[in-house]
Amino acid sequence: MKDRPGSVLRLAQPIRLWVQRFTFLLLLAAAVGLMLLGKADTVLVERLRVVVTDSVSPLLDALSRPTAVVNDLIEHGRNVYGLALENRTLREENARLLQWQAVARRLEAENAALRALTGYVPEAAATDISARVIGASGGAYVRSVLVAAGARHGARKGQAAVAGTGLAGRVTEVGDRSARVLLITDLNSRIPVVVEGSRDQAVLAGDNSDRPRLDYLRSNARVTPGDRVVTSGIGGIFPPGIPVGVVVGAENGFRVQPPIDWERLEFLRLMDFGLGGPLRPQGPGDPGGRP
Amino acid sequence: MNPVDALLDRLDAAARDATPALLTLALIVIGTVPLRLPEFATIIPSFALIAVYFWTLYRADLMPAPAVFGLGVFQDILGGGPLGVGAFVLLAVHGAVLTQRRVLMRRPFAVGWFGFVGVALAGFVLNWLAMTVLSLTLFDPLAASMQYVMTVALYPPVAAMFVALQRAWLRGA
Repeated sequence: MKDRPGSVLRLAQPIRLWVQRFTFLLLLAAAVGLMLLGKADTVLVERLRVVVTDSVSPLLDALSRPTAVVNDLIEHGRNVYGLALENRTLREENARLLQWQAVARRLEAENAALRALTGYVPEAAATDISARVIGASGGAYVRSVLVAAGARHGARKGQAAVAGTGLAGRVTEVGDRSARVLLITDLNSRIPVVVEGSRDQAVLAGDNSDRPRLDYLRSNARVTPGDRVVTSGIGGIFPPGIPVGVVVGAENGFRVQPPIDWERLEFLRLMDFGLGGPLRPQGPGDPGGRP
Repeated sequence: MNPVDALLDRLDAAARDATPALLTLALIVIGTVPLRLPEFATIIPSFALIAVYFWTLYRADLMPAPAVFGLGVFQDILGGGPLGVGAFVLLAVHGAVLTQRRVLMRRPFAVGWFGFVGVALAGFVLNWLAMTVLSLTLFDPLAASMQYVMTVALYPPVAAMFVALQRAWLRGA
């Protein structure tokens, strides 16, 4: 009687160990399976992602507010410090911008007159929503952010995300109240762009560094550091003319310096240009191409 | 003991037993909050790695493989990276620690940290390899190295917090 529990234990112990090992191996295989499934990019994987990020987004939203306040305070302190100098620079800049404003007004009027003359079909006006950045992908491999705006606020897949004055990324996943924006610096980001002065077309390719590369530039392209780069509109995802950055020289080829402080992204404007583009889901009743 | 007390007791026990996994979940969420500190965004430490190592080493009963898998998938989703990589790395760390428990358990804190330095290195290399194979790109190892150094440096304070939690709140193994 006395050694019965012992014998049961002796028997149960190896079995439990086996079950544990089997579970472990099964889960390891499941992880590999998930990698392959994710590679295949199925709807299921995206659904899973959206559901999880959506459920965490209210928490992230709440958590990101205190850090925003603290950062604002730090920023405020810095501002007070350099106030006098900044004031002077801003006055000079303001004077310069007023001149530009006059130029812009004149051009706008001229443009309107010329458009009326030629019967130009205007592009669809952009509608946009502003969204707080509530999550950053901390890590060495991915450059994307979560924003606190989802389908219920009007976020759509393929919208351009603009920070301040420059293109920051593209909406890739949309949940009900959160969305993921793939930044233009991410390895998987490819944006058709054009160099403003020379009209040379290229592809802006992210490589996880802060300055994306200019790929597929013609060998005889007349590009010099300092040139402005804007979206070209080819591919139909983005409209032409969204500012992207300025060209900077690099060891091999050119890179683009976006006017964005990647560490301080706080708000993003998600702009819908009503283009549809290649990301539009195509059902049986869908005629296909662009409107 | 009356049935209500018994139920409360069991609820209490369940809450205590689930604490390590839930805390790790919370740490992953906190790690995602944008801090907006210059240069910090790319070198945010991997809290999940610290937590999985610590709990597997000292309380393997409260950090079973399915929990590790779930945490890994959650981390992958929240970070926006390819699905499965985090789960694979955390499971590998979990498995490696289980085989070395006898060597590392019941030793001074520093030995646990030393073990983490090695295991975390293996974990980061594995992560880098998986990402490289999955995206067919040679990633710059610098960012990952910085992240590794940050994670190793943050192990002592985070582990100290876990030790305090273990003493004050968790039930004996």
